[in-house]
Amino acid sequence: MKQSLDHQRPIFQQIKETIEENILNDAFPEEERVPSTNEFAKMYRINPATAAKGINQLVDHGILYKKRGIGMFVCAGAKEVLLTQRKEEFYNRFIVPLKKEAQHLGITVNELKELLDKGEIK
Amino acid sequence: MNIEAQLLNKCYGSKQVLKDISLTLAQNKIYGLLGRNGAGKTTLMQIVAGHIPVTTGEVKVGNQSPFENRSVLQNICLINESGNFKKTLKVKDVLKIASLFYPYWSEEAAERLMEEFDLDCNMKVKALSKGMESALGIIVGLSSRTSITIFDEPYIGLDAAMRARFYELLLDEYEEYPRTFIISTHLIDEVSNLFEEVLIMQKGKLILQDTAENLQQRCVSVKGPKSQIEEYEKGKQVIHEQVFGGEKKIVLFNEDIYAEELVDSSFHVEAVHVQDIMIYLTANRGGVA
Amino acid sequence: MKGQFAAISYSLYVELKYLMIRFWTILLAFVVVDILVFSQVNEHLLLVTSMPQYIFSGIVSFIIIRKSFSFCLKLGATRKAYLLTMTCVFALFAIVMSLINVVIMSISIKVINSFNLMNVQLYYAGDFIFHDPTVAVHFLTDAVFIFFITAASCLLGSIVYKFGQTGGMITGAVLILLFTIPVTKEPVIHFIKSLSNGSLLLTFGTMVIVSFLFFLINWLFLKKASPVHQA
Repeated sequence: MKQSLDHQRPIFQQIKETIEENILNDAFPEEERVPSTNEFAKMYRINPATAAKGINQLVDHGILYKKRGIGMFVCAGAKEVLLTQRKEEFYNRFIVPLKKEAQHLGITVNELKELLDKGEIK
Repeated sequence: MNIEAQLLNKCYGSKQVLKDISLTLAQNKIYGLLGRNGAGKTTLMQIVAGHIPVTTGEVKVGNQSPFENRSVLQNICLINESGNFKKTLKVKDVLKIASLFYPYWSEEAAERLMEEFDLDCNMKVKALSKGMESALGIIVGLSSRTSITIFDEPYIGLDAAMRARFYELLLDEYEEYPRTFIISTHLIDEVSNLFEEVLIMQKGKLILQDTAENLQQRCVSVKGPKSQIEEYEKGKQVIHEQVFGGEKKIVLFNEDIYAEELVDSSFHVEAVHVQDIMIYLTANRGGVA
Repeated sequence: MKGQFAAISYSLYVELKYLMIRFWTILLAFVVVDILVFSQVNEHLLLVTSMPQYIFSGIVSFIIIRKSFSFCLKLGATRKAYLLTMTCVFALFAIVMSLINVVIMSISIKVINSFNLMNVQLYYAGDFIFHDPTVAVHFLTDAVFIFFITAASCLLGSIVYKFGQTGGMITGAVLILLFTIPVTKEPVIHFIKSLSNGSLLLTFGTMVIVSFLFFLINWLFLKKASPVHQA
């Protein structure tokens, strides 16, 4: 789990992203309980209302659901939903700035493609 | 219990310490009261806690004036940065006396916290180190379980690890027994995420009250070539500026920080720490509109 | 009100207990040592234990406001509750002090008599005022005197708390003037004389009432006093 928060983006958003990330890498499996608002609050020393805001957004998006009196659970199929979402985001978050920076440095699209082939994922 | 103030003024002799303060604090939130030394934070807290009377204006805690009002006083606990407890008393006497004052006092919490901070109940207050005295203040504040618990810089002499523990214990208590916490602090960065709302005071005036989240969204720092920044900042509310060589950094307040022109620009855009926001807003440049 | 009363009286109790234990230990040691020494030598010794008691009571009640008022206020005491509780606690304090004195004096006198130490003489304050007073009269005399002294010096204590040392000194100067300028001196002395000429009950009754009045007057100085000590 992420150990600390930065101050660049709203805290609730970072809580939301932390949970998403954990669902994607199976740290929070589907149909399993995730930490409560207060557990998040204590872990990151943040106001419980802020943590709740992040969690509630995930409930609204159908990623988490609430079992009354027990806690928050990961919805079935949540990982799939998140993966699709992430793929959509990928273009905006990485491809657009990549092309922008390439343009800035005078790298052509073809050169960029070559670089992509060269870069290996270990 | 809500806290409400209407045009509150406090003077000591000819010196006006608080000027026309009006505010509403809802119950069961964690508030951060920020400002420079001498801004009037301590005086405001003493008035809210009913320790001193107002000069003019009105303060209502749960719809009643707190000054000399027993039913309000037993539900408010204010812990100052030092000198809370009589020096000749033993720690256990302090706890005993506090338990008699506060009807919702938790013996169990007090014992747990005494262990947590490793305090010896047979020690006299005057024999405690600064850090231990602060710890005793924290123990009394948290164990009092008053609907309004106010900490005025309660961390003198506590090291970083103990302060971190204090914030955790405060969250524990807040979770189990939700209540209003008001925390005044100079170590803003380490607690700012704890606050639901932030109040900033300057020279006896309350210049800002907002949720911590909003506050961060209202403020942004923009860095770029000097000439371009100077063009960009026209007509905007700049609360801080700094020129470094050909580069200029400005901090904008109350501007749309997600504006496309900003996102798409080649400027380096950054969020601003709450601590810095406080410093910029309370610098001598006329304050905020 | 109950909680406030309990809390304030407990904090005063802790403070007074601490001071009283020290005072009585010293006084007792003093009396014992004196008796031991004078049982060996053939000098005459006259001991009045009431006097140190009066001085002690005066000092204690003078410093008590400075010591415990702001502490109690910071924990949420009302000034009203503090003043009422303090008055009751000092009434009790006077009774307890006088009681301890009676007990110690009675034991000491028994000891002296049984060892036949004719050169050591112990006196109560009451011995100088009344003819052949009983133990009950001694008890009452000391209790009333102590209560009166605590009331007066408590008042002085509040004045100093409120106005600082300058205020205290001005008050002291005014009091000295009252007793030195003939215009005011005469009626005051006359008043005091009339007290001692009246019946025991009347005199003590007046003193107790005046003491309570003194405690009441404290309110003028404490009703808006800050818990943060200014002086």
